[in-house]
Amino acid sequence: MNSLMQSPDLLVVDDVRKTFQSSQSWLHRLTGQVPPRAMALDGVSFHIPRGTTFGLVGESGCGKSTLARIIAGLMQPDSGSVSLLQADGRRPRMQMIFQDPFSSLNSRWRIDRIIAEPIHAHRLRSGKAVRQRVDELLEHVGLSPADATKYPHEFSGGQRQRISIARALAGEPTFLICDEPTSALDVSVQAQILNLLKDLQAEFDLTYLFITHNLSVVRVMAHQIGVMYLGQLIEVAEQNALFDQPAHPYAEMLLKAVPDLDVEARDLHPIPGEVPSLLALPTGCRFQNRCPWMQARCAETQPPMSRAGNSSVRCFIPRNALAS
Amino acid sequence: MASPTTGAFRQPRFPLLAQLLRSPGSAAAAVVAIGLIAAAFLVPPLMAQDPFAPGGAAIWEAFTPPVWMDGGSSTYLLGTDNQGRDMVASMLFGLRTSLVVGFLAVGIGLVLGVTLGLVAGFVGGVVDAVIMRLADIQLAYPALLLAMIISGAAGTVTGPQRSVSAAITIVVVSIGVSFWVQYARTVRSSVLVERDQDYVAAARITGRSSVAIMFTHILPNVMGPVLVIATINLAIAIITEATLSFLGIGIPLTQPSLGTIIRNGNSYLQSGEWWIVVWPCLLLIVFVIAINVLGDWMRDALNPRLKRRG
Amino acid sequence: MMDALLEVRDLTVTLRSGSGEVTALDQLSFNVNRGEVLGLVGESGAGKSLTGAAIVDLLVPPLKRTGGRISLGGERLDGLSEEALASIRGKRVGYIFQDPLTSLNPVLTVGYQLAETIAIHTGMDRAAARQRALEWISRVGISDPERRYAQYPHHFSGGMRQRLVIALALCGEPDLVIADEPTTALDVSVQAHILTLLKRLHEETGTAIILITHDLGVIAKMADRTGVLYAGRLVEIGPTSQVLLAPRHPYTQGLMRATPDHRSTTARLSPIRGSMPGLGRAPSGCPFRTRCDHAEADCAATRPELVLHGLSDAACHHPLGLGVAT
Ligand SMILES: Nc1ncnc2c1ncn2[C@@H]1O[C@H](COP(=O)(O)OP(=O)(O)OP(=O)(O)O)[C@@H](O)[C@H]1O
Ligand SMILES: Nc1ncnc2c1ncn2[C@@H]1O[C@H](COP(=O)(O)OP(=O)(O)OP(=O)(O)O)[C@@H](O)[C@H]1O
Ligand SMILES: [Mg+2]
Ligand SMILES: [Mg+2]
Repeated sequence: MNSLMQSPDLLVVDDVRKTFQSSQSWLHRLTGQVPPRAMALDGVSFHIPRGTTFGLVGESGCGKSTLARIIAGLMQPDSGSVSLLQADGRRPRMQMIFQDPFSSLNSRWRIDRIIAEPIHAHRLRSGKAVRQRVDELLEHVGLSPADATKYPHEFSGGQRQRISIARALAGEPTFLICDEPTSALDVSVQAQILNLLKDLQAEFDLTYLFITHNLSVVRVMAHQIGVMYLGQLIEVAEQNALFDQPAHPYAEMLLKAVPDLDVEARDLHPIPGEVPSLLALPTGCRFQNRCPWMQARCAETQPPMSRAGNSSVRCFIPRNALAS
Repeated sequence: MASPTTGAFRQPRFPLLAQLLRSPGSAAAAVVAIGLIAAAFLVPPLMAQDPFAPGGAAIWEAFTPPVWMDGGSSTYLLGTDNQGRDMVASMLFGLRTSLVVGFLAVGIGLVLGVTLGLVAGFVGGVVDAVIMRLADIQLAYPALLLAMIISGAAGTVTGPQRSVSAAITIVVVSIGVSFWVQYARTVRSSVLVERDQDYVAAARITGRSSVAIMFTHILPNVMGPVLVIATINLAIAIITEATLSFLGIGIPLTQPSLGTIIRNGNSYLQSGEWWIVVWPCLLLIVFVIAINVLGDWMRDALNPRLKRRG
Repeated sequence: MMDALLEVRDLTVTLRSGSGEVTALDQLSFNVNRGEVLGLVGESGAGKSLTGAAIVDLLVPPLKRTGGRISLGGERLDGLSEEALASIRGKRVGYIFQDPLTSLNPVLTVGYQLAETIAIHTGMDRAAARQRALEWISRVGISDPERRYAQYPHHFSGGMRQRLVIALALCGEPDLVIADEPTTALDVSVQAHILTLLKRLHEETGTAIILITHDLGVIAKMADRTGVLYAGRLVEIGPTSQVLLAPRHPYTQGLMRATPDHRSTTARLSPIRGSMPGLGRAPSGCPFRTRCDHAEADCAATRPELVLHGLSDAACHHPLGLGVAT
């Protein structure tokens, strides 16, 4: 425990596993059969040093939000542990920005009440100062104080997302989980929000877990990036290392699939092949059926997490090793 | 800093009212229902004489027919009953008692049902299973039968000589208790949907307690259907009270309620004094229909699916 | 082939409130040609979703279409009865909503919802509709369709729900699909997969698409023409290559500059300064002038109309890339 106290890490996630019961049909109930369980997270471990941003990217449905929910304490893992510790040994104040801007705001509450909730809950301010803080936050996210008296349905998707960001910031978190915080925003507002998050991080030494599908955004924001595939972290790398020399074939192919601004070459490059079902995961490497460089041993044993260049990667033949 | 709220738009202040006015049938129902409720609560206190107080009725004027019939008197527009009480006045007094019983019964059912439904949906697990099995068991008994059982059982405790207020309490509780299942089921299924929404997760992360989340976040989101049920239950409660009183196991004859008035008047239907029973029956029917129309309209008006997104 | 499938003229949407009316969409005019993909981009809250909703009259009070003509394949859509519109929605115009969770009914299985929609639009019987629904589930890249058929929306990840919504919109095989941010919740590979699927269906069936998105990369890959919305007005529209590479409107240029690029390191992004005025608070003249580096006196005086500058139309008194300066 003592070593943990001194570690520079704010968050340590150790071997977290989570399965979901697939819905039980009446046939299952009748026959007393136990339905198969879907493996949503399978042995995820990583840590985030205080004051830095850990970016998490990966296939949609690979378990990023589930991981975020477990870290936030909204769900219990089947096994493994999550420890959050501030330098002074206390639990850090946490907030989360949710992926879906439509279900993350209570439609019966006015905007000022929504944003003020964490302020009241943590007794950060009182009286008139609350209202002032709400106005200030609204301006920070590019809305106006006049919006405070409206209800969520009066806003567009991106505006709601900004309200959700304002609410998270209102709690003055030391640790902020951002699940797709800017996917609903136009690039200009996105730039404004990302700059704001960076400024707050620099000023208050905040720690972020930043989940996104937007690889350009993760490059701007993250110090370290984890790439997930089917419930596992398959690569963890420093910001530039991932983009310059991706180690895992999935990471490499993912980077290729990003649509650039070239209007002439209009082909998109999806990764070919089907994602295996979480109920019937292959033995061996999870990416084998879609990997152009697959070998016999990939089907037999699961590659362990190992060092390759500047990355940790779950692959027998990492791509960056070939390059160098 | 704080800039004025000019230029910004507002929600129409009374969106439901505006909507109601657009539907003439429901607007009429609302006028009837609210009018009757207002009359029942506002008029009796203003009357010089309580017809049910000892000596409050003019016994010598008993069986006066309505004003347009032979022997009718303009003092008693709808006639008088066997004790010489003005029908209009008795019905208002009766309706008032019925409404008090109805509102209290609905209140008991609502508080009980909503709380149990919230807890069942939000806590889940064993608690949920126990509450919902109880609900299933209770559903096997029709509301009226249940009310009869409860008031019967209470009767054996208090003995046949119970006071008026004890009788009313028993009626209120027995009707109220028979209502909770509906609320609990509706609330529970709404809670199951709301519970998984991210706004609840956000409140959890912020450290709000489960109780606070249940009452400040989830409750407002599930109140729509509850109000609809409450409205319709008001009608059911009044009918149940009337039925219980008519059967003689509800409110004693000394206390006016629509049920006791009808029970009293029923004896004179055969002998030609039809007005003593027909007016209160009509009042009951009109009021119940108005409430039901209003409830149906509310069901549509409060349905978020019918007023979705732009 | 400039055969207009959808013609929108002077589309105006107002928001009625206690203290009067506010214009939310101000005289929008554009065409969508048969078999074309029209991209729509713009500030969040600019009115992109409202435009889509106004076309098939999905607006709910206090929002109301107060002006303009809309015709689909020569047939006027404005003024149609609610029943007539209901049959057009889904059958002739598919709609992919921005909000994936509420487009799916939380208490019905996704399979049931798909089969039901298919049965309504095609008149198939239960068994055939079920079969078709299973096909659509795997067509949008979700494995194990048999198991997924019987699951409820909250059993799916955000991205999977979005794919189901896409399947729901496309299963009626409509002439026009209005896709409101169809891939924002998806990873780039699934996004590429879905966009390729959309493109393929679009090429096979000639379905025209209005694609609303914030991702200029998606615009570059998908859209034949692109329109840019700002504060309820169309400020630029033209061939995608023109709009992205030679923007005429300073707002479009600002968007291009704020776009991050994963191929290079950027410490700080460059947003357009200020923020978009809220509804009903736009300044006089050009709505963008208070944030614009090129604004002059005339920008405050008169409202710029959409005029052809080179290959694209822009609503700007001082369009970029035309003058001799620089
Ligand atoms: N409550 C639940 N019950 C059953 N299965 C679930 C539940 N929540 C998530 N899952 C499953 O777990 C897997 C991971 O879901 P998760 O939401 O974590 O994905 P994600 O990586 O966030 O995807 P996206 O990028 O699309 O949001 C999915 O296959 C999903 O269907
Ligand atoms: N029901 C409503 N009541 C009041 N205002 C509304 C309503 N719906 C939308 N608005 C307003 O209309 C404007 C346009 O909204 P719209 O949803 O079209 O934006 P958008 O361009 O799609 O934005 P985003 O990219 O964030 O989805 C916004 O400023 C919003 O606040
Ligand atoms: Mg997610
Ligand atoms: Mg939108």
